[in-house]
Amino acid sequence: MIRVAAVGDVHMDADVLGRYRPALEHLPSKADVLLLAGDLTRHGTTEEAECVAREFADLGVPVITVLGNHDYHSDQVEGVVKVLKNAGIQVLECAGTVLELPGGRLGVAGTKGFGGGFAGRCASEFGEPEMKAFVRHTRQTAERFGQALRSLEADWVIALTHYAPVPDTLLGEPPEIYPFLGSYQLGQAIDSAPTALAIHGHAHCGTERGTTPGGVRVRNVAQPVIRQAYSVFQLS
Amino acid sequence: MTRLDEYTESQIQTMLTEDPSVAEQGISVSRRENTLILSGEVLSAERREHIKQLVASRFPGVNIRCEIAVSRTGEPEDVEEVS
Ligand SMILES: [Fe+2]
Ligand SMILES: [Fe+2]
Repeated sequence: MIRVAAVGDVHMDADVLGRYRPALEHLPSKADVLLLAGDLTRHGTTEEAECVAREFADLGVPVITVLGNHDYHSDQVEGVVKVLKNAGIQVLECAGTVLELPGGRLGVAGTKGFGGGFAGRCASEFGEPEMKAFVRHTRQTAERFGQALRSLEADWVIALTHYAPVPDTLLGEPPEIYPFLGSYQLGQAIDSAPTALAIHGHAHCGTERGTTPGGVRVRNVAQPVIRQAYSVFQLS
Repeated sequence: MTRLDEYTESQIQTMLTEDPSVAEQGISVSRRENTLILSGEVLSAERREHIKQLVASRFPGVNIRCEIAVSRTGEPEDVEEVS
């Protein structure tokens, strides 16, 4: 049995330092690992990444994260990743990792992911170079993410993304913006592996629970959605 | 004085995302008659107050109803079993 804590969209900056800390004090008694589903910062600066490090490092459990779109905003991704890594937070982008925990081996593959939309209402790699680049980025990311998921040898596999892999968990968001919130191709990647649980963020106004076409449980853990410091999932 | 129409609504929505002092994508903007309604969640009362003041100063004359809530960050009480 493994207990996984997860939260997304913590949007740290100096003004909210310490906001999550009281709830994190007892984390080791509640979970074996903490997953962060991207949008760690407001503007993606290294200074904000330092705030993330202060808030979410040294919690007594391993911390694994993906980045979100906000973390790319200042074009300082390399610096942001470095700050997080130095603080002991593992950053995944189309990559996986296996944790040997007392309850078993937990595999986590992660990616930011990207938009594009869902079945019947999605963008295609067609037309202007800008449009093709947009959809190509989604496709290539999803393909590499799928490979990372399938290569994990673990008792449980978790898929961690920022963008949504299914439309279910977007309920509450305006339908017109779904193509900017996620892509079915992420869902396809998740269904190509024996995934136990898919975690994402990004949709602040969305819904907590959904399922992929292949039957994998999807949870939107965006902080405004879960309305608590983190959610806990027990894999058994 | 700003007239509250569709264009103003779009401008406000864009400002809430693109103004570096806000950078929020989770705030919904809607209009009801002559009132602009802001809703969603932010991490602190200060962030909420700032949004309210920024909209009021950039769009003078627009009636604002601020329904933005400060998000809760308490410890979870339950565990979801996934098997
Ligand atoms: Fe976010
Ligand atoms: Fe996001």
